[in-house]
Amino acid sequence: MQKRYTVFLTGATGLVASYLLKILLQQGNFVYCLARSKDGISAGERVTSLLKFWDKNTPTENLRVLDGDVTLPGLGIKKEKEEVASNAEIIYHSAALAELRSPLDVISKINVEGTNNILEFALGCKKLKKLNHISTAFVIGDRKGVNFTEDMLQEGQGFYNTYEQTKYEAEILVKNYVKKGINISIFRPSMVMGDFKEGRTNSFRLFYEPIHFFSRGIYEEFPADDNGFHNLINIDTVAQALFLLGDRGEQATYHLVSKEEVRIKELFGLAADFFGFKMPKCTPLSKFDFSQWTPVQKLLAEPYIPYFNYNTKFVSERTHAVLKEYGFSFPKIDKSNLTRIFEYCRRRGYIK
Amino acid sequence: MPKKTPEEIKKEVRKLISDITEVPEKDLKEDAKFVEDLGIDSMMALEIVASLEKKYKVVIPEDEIPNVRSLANVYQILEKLINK
Repeated sequence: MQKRYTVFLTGATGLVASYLLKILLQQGNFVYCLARSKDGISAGERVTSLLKFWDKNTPTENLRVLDGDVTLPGLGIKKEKEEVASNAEIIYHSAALAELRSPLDVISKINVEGTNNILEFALGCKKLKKLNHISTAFVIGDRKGVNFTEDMLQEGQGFYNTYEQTKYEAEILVKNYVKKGINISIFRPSMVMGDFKEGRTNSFRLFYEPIHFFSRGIYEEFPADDNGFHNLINIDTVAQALFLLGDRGEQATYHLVSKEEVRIKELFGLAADFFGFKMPKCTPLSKFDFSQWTPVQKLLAEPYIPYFNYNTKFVSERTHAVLKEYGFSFPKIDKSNLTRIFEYCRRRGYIK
Repeated sequence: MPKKTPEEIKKEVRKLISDITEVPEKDLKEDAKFVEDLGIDSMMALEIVASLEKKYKVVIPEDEIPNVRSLANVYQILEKLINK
């Protein structure tokens, strides 16, 4: 962003928005954060402890944490609602449940209704220049083998899980509010992992989970496509791109993804070498005999199997061209980048 | 193979769960519920059960899976299967 703004941010207790918050505050923006208190820990404590996790020197004098909830009407903020609506110039909506096993009604409440509530709120923000909606490249769902460009969305896809489905539904909602006059950009990161420099993360989810269960030697054989690939991206670079593009005048969709994918075999092979576990034998899904698995093995692997047989390319030429205007490009996901990710897992004791 | 005593099984199970979840063994009380008390998510819980299956070469029947909600449940199911 070229100027300092008053920002309204949701999702700051999550991975992407917590890192973004760090950048926003370091760059001198004033930030209202909407967050929930949880397990007896106040919203303020949750947000600031994550901030300190990223950088203990992050200035907090321009931070106001509002105890609220995107799923509640009026976002659950009575007192401060008017103040935020009068002052917010930029909104980042990142609050979402990124969970592959969540029942539809539970996840929909946060990812779809929550987005709706934010969009409604945005209609009343008098100084609003831009609303940035954080989506995911996986809204393309089960459309296999396509080149998914920034302009595509409704491609007749089905979904592998309720996360993909509800993020897709949220994007459709967003498009409706563009028609109502809000200036909105959509950001679609691919699979987010730790930071570039040290592999740091506060969330060992999704990409990390199969490495964890492979390291336990639970599977001798796994249904995975030899030609399948993952698109991975470092958290710090996703947040940096969100920050840079956050006040662009034009409405656009951006793919915050790496230019090059990592072959699944190569990725898990590297992890196996690093942690010293035996990689399961990869068998094409069509030839895989599921009767060799126990019911528990099936349940554990199920949500991840589509991503071991993934060959949808996320096209990002336009996004990369825009980022280039700021002198910014995403680093390569190569062996040294991945090794730092694995080293951090070991250092934190996540994988031994 | 000699039968394992319930105490031996409990000790081994606690060590394995602590290994997977990073929850210290001393916090793994018998009545502790995975999700509510130990902050273990459903994926981690499944990984624990799958690791136990591998270690003890047993298969937890599908209809028992929803019952695995606490350490006490795990002990009960394992004892039944291991010493069958």
